Amino acid sequence: MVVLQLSDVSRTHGSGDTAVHALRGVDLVVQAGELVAVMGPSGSGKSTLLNLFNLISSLTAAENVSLPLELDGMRPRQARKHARAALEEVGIRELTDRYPDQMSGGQQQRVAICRALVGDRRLVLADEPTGALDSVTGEAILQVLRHRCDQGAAGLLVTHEARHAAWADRVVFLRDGVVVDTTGPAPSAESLLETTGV
Amino acid sequence: MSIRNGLLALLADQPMYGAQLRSEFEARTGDTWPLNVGQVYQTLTRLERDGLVDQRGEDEEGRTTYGLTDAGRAEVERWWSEPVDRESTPRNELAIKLALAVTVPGVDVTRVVQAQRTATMRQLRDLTRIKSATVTDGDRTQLAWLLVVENLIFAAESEVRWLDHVEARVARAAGSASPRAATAGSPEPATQRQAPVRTARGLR
Repeated sequence: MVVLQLSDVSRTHGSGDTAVHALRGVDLVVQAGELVAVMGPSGSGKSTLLNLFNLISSLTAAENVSLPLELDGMRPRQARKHARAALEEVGIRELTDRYPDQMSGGQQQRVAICRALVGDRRLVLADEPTGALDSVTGEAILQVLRHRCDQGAAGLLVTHEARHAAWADRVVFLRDGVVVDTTGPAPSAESLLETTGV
Repeated sequence: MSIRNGLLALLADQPMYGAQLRSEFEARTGDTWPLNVGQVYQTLTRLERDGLVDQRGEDEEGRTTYGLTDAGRAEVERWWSEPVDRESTPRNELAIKLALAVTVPGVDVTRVVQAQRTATMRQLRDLTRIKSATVTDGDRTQLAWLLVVENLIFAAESEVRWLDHVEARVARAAGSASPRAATAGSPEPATQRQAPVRTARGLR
C-alpha cells in the first residue's frame, strides 16, 4: 500500500537568473512498512524535500504535533491531548504553546521528532533526526523509527550519514535536486543470514 | 589474507585435523572468509616444513591431527603481540580505480563514484540488518562474529565517507580549474602533481 507518493515534484528558490532549482522532477514512493532514506550532500535538495513537511510556523508546538493525528482522522481535542502527552514524554512540555520561531534549532528538532513519533502513525518523516543528539540517543531514535516501520508505518528519513541511512530498506540518492540512483529493496535478515551460512 | 596465522592461533587451543581447522576458522569469523580444505592442507604442509607444526598421529577415523611445536607457539605469541602489517594488505582496487578515473580522459568520475556508493550502501544496509538480528547472549562465537560484522560495517561506512570526499574534491577541482588545465584532465600543473605521486610510490 502506497502511503507517500511524490510525482514530478520541483521546487525553485528565487527567480530569474538567480533562481536555484532545489528539486527537479523528483518521483518518490514510500510503501506501508517501508523505511526509505534519502541521501545526498548539502545542496542536493534533500532538506528542501523534507521542508515540504517542516514545522508549520503559524502553529504552536502542540498544534504542529497534533496536526498529523488530525489528518489521520483523530478528533482535534483528542489529538491535542496526545500531542501534549508526547511533548511531556520527550521532556519539552515548556515548549507546548511556543511557535517555531520562538525556539532554538535543537528545540525545533525535538518538536519535529515528537511530531514524527506521536501516536499510531501511518507516515513518519525524519530530517537528520539524530543531528543534535549524541550517538547513543541517535541510535535509539533510529531503532524507534525502524520499529515503527516494521509495525507497518511508512518512513522517510533524510540524512547524509551512511550509518543512519543503513537502517532503511531502500536508499535513494539525490544530487542537484535529481534522484540519481537507488539501492533497491533490502533482502530479509533471514535470507541474509542464510547466505552467510549461519 | 594469509590464513597461516589464523590456523596457528587455532592450533594453540588444541591439536586438530584439516577439516576441523577449516570449520573452526569459518565458525569463528562468521563464514566471512570461506576456506577450502585444499588450502588448509597446503598451508599445514608449509607450516610443517617450516617447523611450526608437527603431526600428532591419526584419530580413530584415520585423520592426521596437527599440533604446534615450540617454534609455532612462539610464532603465535609474536602474532598476538605485533600489529597487523597494513602495508602488506592487498592492493586497494577502488583507490586505484578512482586514481585512474581522474587521470584518464573521458571518464565520468561522478558516475564511477555513485555506482560504488550505491553498492557500498547496499552492503552497509545488509550488514546493519544482520547486526541488529544478531543476539550475542554471552556466546563467544556469536560475539566473535558480531565483531567481524562490525568491522565490515566500519569499513563500508568509511568507504562511503571517502567517496563523498572524492566527489566533493573532484567537484571543487573542476570548479577551480582553468579551461586549459581541465582539458589536460587535471586542475594542477604537472610539476606539482609529481611530488605526491612519488611519495606514494615510496611507501609501497
